[in-house]
Amino acid sequence: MQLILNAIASAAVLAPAAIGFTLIFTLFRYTNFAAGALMTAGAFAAWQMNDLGLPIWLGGICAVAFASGLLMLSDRVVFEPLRGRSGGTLLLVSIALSVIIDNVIRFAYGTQIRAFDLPLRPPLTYAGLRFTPETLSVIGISVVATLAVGALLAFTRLGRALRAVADNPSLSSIRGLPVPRIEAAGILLAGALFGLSGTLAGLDLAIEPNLSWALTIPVIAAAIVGGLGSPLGAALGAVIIGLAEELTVAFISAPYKGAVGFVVIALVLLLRPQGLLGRAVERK
Amino acid sequence: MKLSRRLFISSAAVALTAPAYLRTGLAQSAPIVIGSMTPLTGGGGPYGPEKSDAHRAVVAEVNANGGVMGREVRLISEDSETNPEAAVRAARKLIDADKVSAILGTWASSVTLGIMPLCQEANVLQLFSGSSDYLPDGDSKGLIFNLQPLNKAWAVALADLAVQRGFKEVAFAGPKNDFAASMGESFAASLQALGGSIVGEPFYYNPGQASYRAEAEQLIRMNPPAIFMAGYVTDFIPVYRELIRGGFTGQIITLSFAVGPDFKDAVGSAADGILHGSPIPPIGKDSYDAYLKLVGIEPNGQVQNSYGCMAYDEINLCLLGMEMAKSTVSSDVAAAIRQIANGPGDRVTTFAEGKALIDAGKPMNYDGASSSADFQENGMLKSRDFALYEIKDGKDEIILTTTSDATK
Amino acid sequence: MDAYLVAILTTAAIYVILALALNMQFGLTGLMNFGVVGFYGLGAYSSGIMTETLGQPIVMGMLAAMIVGGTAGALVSLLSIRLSGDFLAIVTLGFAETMRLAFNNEDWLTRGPRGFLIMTRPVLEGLGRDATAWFILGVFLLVAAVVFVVFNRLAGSPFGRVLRSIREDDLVPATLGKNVLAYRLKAFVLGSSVMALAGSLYAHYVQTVTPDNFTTQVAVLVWMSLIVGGAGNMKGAVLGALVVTAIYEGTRFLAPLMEFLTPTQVSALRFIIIGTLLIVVVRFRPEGLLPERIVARPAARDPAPG
Repeated sequence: MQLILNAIASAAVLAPAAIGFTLIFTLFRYTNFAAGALMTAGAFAAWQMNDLGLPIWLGGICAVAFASGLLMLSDRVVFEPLRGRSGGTLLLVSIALSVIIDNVIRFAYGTQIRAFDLPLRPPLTYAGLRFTPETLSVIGISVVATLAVGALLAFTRLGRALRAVADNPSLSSIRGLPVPRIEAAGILLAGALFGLSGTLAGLDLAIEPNLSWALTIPVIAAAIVGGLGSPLGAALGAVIIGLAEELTVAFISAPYKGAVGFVVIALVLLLRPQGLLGRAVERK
Repeated sequence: MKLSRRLFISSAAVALTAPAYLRTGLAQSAPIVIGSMTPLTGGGGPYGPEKSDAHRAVVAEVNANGGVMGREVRLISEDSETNPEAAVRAARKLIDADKVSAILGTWASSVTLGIMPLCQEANVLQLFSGSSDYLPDGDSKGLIFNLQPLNKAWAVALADLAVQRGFKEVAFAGPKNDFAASMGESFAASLQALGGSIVGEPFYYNPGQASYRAEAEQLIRMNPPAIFMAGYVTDFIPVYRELIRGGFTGQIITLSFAVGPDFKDAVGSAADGILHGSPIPPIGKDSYDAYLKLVGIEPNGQVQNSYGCMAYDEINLCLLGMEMAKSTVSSDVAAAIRQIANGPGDRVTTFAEGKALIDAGKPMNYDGASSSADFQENGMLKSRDFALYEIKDGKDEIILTTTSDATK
Repeated sequence: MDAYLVAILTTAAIYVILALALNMQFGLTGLMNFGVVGFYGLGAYSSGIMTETLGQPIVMGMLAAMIVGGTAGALVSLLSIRLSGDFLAIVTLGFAETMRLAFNNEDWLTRGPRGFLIMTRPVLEGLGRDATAWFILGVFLLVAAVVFVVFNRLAGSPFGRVLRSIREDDLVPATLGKNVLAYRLKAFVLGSSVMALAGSLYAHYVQTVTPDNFTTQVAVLVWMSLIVGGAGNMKGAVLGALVVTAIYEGTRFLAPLMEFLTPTQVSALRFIIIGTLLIVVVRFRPEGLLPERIVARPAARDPAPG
């Protein structure tokens, strides 16, 4: 049980970013390896605000806005001119972008490790389960965000428009949808989710520029496992990745935990290429 | 092939005539070039800047007072990226393009060992801080000096502390790197010699992960009365947080550099109760305070810049060695460093004091900011001060200082 | 400076070989192998184990590297044969990361994080320091030249044309009765074994290999070489590797111009410059410095070797 709770707590950090990743993938068909860098940028933004004296939740809102703006900026400068290029090119470019963001952070903040102004406390115990208030709020925020984004995509006009554009941009355009504006909304939303995940990661881990690569892999793994294009799938994927990691450490070998994400991805791609909750995605 | 032949001949010519240059007046004014290779990015990122700052500060001061042998010292900084692949490239540039006489400041043992074949081949001196027990193996020319004691020496003192506090059963955890892996072996051996034992298997994890909750949970499940954690600050902070938040109530024993100011800022009052120890700069000693003031830090009775003070000794020893040898030829400089570091002679703590003695023709014994800096034949330290602390109210409170003898 | 140029050229030669190998996989066939560094590391360790642990001569080390690299390439390729595009990229990236973890954790074989010391070198005994450096460079250039000639030949052969048609659209060659999977497998194995060969050369050149030598950063540099040089064109791959090495090494010399920055900032700036350059090239010269020219030639005399 503790294992499952821990897996959910890890998943809560990853889930919003995985949804952001899947959103970008379905809209533009590329693997954005800058996911971790955007999260790290978000974490630093939140920390900066917290350090200036703002409460963490306000810092988190700033982080959401900042990451959103940063993704928008990078899309306008980097990705937009490259629309229609192969997925490989864009993947490579996103790695380059990630290198740039990481090093801008390092340039500005150095390599010191930072943490939010938050007391470190022993856990509460309930029914044999150990948990901390932070864990609960991380899970709570994450669940709310996931459901909200899910509802947004499922029930609102914007959500339907987003899905239509993701399915077929040219058809949507013919049907009179303002495609560029809808894409922009999708980018802002994805960026906000990266920022949120970054803040949650900051609550859970140390904040340092080296974090980004370690965050990227599980986020992408969660999105693929859940099925690209499905926000709830991404959340479920995050839980599965979290659980797989817990089990590996407990029963196989802790140092190999880093490989878990990849092994799960490989298995899913081989056995059920559309992911758990995804529809078949055209792969090019 | 014509071009390469010409290049070959000209490079051979340069190599052959180099000693001749040294005797001319022209060479007297040419700067002495020294490489500073520190981990500015990667896993060592938190420790690199203080090392490179120490190098820079000493060189600036020495240059302001007339340089070494009347020549200006030029320090060239490179980033090892805490990665031997990058470090080897950087070392090639330092050795072959900048023609450095020495490379100072490497930190990770993998990096120090990685560039050692190049340095040996090109007769370049290495002064560094590293604790892998394998470091002496790569040196066949007597060109290395290590300001950090090897793992074996640390483990004895820490195992002793654990047993004194009544912990005979201690679990071991650490990242899977060179440092922690050999620390684990040494600690287990030391603990056994005192009649204790390691709980379960030594637990290694992969550094640089996004989350360490699963690892912490595994340690909690082992339920040891105490855990010795040989981590660096980058992985120690998240693992420690997860241990506390997972409800671990046993004793944590760790290494002092993992629980520096960064750590205390990050975890606040939850740091209280941690036992830690490591080779320390002699707190309150004039040479250590002089170093801190040189880099703009106020001494506060706590361990600060535990790697920076070693870098301070690296550069001082290197420059004094050149001044005394009146040469930058590495074997001469290494011989001079042995005399300067081990004495006997008058105590000196800075380059300026040492230069005065050299000018007066007197012997000296360098006493450093990190230790007394006395070396064995293989370039490893003879001994170093070692302190054990307990964190109380967010401050390191000293329990015991010992001098670990590495020659035993 | 001469000795430094020799050292850079030696490193560049290794990157040339890696870029050529990747060009076989990606440039010609369109297979996105982001696990370059996995095969490279496998080659380095296989070769080291062959010469040090088993005491064989260096040629055996190189051979072992190619066999192990090729076999691993075949396995990865068979596992992910139906995947294409970025999915193959992720799987191969995962392969490389898993290999690095294995190098780090299987101490009995690789000495783990302590690093594997390699005494065997591809030189004659008794040469001086400079002569040794030149000799090694010569050996590496020779290997690079052989790889270039063979791959260039293959690219122009019927085999190469089938690979190109697979890259463009695998339906066409399939309809023409070509076994697409077998061709993809061959291209991947060929590339992987040459990457492992590069790893073997590298190991005997630097003489200490640790798991940290084989991080994704190396793969990014190789990819950068290929994209900058011009994917699909073997000459482009060579040029790209030279340009990227020049940029990577050249940015070092910027440091003295920026005394007002801390060394950490200078180092960060270097990476920012490298990342930006890559994006700029992709944006403004997507076909690379030497674009691929597909010339319809009459069928070459020699059939594609397997």
